[in-house]
Amino acid sequence: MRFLLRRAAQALFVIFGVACVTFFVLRLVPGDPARLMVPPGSSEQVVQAIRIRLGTNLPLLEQFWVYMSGLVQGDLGISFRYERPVLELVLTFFPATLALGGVAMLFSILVAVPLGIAAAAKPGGLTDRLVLVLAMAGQSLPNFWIGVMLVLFFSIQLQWLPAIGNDNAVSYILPVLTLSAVLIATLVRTVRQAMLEALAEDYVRTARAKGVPWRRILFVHALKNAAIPLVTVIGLQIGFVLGGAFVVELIFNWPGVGLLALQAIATRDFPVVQGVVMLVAVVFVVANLLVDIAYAYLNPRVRLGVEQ
Amino acid sequence: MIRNRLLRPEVLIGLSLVAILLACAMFADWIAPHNPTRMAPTVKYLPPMWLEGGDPRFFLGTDQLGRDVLSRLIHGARTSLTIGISAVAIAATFGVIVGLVAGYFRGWIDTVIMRLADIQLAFPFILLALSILSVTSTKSALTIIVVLAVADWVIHARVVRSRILVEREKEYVRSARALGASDLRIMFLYVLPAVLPTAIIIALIELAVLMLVESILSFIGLGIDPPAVSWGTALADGRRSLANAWWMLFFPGMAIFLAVLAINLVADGLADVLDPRLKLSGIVRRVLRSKSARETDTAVVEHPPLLAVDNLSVEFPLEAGGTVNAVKNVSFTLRTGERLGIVGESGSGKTVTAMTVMGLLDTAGRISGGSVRLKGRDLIGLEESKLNRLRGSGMAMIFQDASTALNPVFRVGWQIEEAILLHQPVSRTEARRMALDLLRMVNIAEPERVAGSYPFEISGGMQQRAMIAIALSCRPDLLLADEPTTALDVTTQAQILRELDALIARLGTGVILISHDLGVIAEFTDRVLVMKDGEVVESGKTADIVTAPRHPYTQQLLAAVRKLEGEEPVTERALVHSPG
Repeated sequence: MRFLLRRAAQALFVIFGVACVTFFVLRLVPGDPARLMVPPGSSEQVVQAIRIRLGTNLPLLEQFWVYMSGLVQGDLGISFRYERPVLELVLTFFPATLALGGVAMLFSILVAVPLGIAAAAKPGGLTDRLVLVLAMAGQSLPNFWIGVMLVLFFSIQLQWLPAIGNDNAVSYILPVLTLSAVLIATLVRTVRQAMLEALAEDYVRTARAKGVPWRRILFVHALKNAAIPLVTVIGLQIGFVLGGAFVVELIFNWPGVGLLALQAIATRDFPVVQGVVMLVAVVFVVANLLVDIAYAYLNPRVRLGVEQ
Repeated sequence: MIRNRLLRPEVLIGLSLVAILLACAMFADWIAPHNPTRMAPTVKYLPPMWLEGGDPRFFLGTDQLGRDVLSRLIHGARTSLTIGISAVAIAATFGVIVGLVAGYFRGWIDTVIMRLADIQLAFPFILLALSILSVTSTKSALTIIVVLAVADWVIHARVVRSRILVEREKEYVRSARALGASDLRIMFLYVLPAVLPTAIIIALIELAVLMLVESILSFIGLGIDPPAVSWGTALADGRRSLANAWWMLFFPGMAIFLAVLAINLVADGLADVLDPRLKLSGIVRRVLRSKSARETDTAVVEHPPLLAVDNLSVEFPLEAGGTVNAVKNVSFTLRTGERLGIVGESGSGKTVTAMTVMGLLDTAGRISGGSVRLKGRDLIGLEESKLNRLRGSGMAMIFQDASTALNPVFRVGWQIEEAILLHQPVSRTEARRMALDLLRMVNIAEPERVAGSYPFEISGGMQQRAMIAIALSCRPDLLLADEPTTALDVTTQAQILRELDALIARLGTGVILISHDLGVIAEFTDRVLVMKDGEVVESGKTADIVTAPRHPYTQQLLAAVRKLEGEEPVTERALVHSPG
């Protein structure tokens, strides 16, 4: 319990830090958002009007205060383009991203765990070598390329699957595959490595001396130990999934926050950009908090406070 | 050795691809057949030259503005590499210095830096780059390089810091400090070289990552401004012409894939030589799993001894080639209720002998001759499933270090119950009751509490008692105890041995006790084998050998015991990990 409270406090600190970083990064980067928002050659008056609307005419610290106090109250500003509160807008688009990312994560775990176990069960065997080659290739493939090639093949050539939108279950197939390819490569390697390490431990020898069948050693004795590093890596990959969602949503015209952010960037709708960044950071931090809880559940040393 | 590993085919492929990439980047102006930005409306959307409608002047076809795809790829290599290498160079230099300072000085400076790093890592990498690039009006190569470096330094800093934390505690650093070397000198002259290999590999891996990110940024329209050519931009163009010019999509993607793959392969090859833990494809450690050496008859001889080991030889392959004989022609028998000691220094083959009896030989090890019969049944070559039925019930083993031999993520009670449930037809509740009885039997005062604890929650002595409970759970006829008390303090050692002694006498179990300590052997066993370099040098009644050793080696061992009397015995990690 104390462990969880400490982690929650850390999470809050990180979210505060992210808010600071987004704020200052966007303010300190050379370039005036107001000037970017108006057609070239506009008068200084027009630019100044936009600055006042953005609040960028105020001194930096005052801007920071306005931004932070708004944030605490859940006020992320108003979108120029949609003329709606950013928070509301972001929350409307978020479920689609969550669904896509969630399904991709689940699919990747379901594929990678059995593959990784199979590879580790016989190191140097055919499955193992195949898994390693695929993992290496997957690691080097740009996911947006996988995405467009899938569209080219399945939507345009074969016309089997829809290329855009998220209307039904079928429309999930290509985006999920695109998002999962690299993820599977990373996870399968982690599972394999963690299983190999667990299998080399003394307790595996003890289990064998007890007469535990090999299959049970793999799936019970080794897997529960291997799950600990796996959970950590999954936590880190959540950020990757959220980042990857931007590209995938663009390719498949998926109505999530990634697409929203990219459109906002194109239309210079900065409050929305900032809102999405904040949301993604919060989701990432919360997801990692959940991962920490799962980690504690799996690792009795952490749960019982013996180790951090 | 190192040369051979560096020259594996994968690494060679990687290296040659990197060479091509570098050549493209450096000599793009000479290699590229066309100006990558020259538009020619008359030749737009030409397919690759080998397809119908292709033009031999445009090998990989042209794009929507009639620009040569191949030339754009060659020039794209320059953009991609320049941006990638510069960004990594900045990020790595900054990250390594920061990691060095944080890890070396610890304290508040470390806390501040690592908290900053945490915050930045709480941010999906690409998002940070994205939010910066969204507000910059011009995107020159320099802008992209700075953005990527800002997003990437954390990775280098964290890896280097964690390595420094290990290095700074090492002997050479301590002695340098004791000699009065300045911090700066220690950091850059001693510690930095030690972590440099790791830093280089991380830099290579990150180079691959950053080249990917650069292409992603260009693809979503936040990359370098035209007229600079980027693979990501080419791909984005291709996406808009998806239906009618697949080559505009396929080739840029292949270029990115091959470039990133090549760098990953080289990084992997280097990691193999410099720092195996960082290897992308992971370590291949030998997993304990015996392979059937040969099928044998399972004829049961009338009134056979409990265990008969006859002319057993075991060999291990050496890394340099050839084999080493860890056990040479070892023979002995053991009757029910009898106690045999095997004594010898590490590397003498005593543990390998025990492991072979249990069928738990390292995969690398090979039984090159002889037989092991348990109640007349040959165990060598017995199927794994049949062996599993015998292990735990017919014969059981107590290992040296209970703290690692017990599984850290299962409760002690669970681990005992598992052994019971595997071999006895009892219910779960019954097994639980039996486990508690066993814990009581090994003199554990609070069996419920211990059964509900994880191994790390109980003391070393308790852990070893739990191990003994597991081993005795199914009343085995044969018990192998490999240095059962070496990992414990002296008082606990004596206590556990006395308890084990009483238990075994009660259960009538045949015992093989392995130890380097002749004192323990003398107290505990009826007969003894003295092993050296895989061979039995002397054997006989324990009492005779202790009083009148004939072999000089036995005499030495005895002398050692007398010298060590009252002191803590020398801990010896058995040779499971380093045969020979």
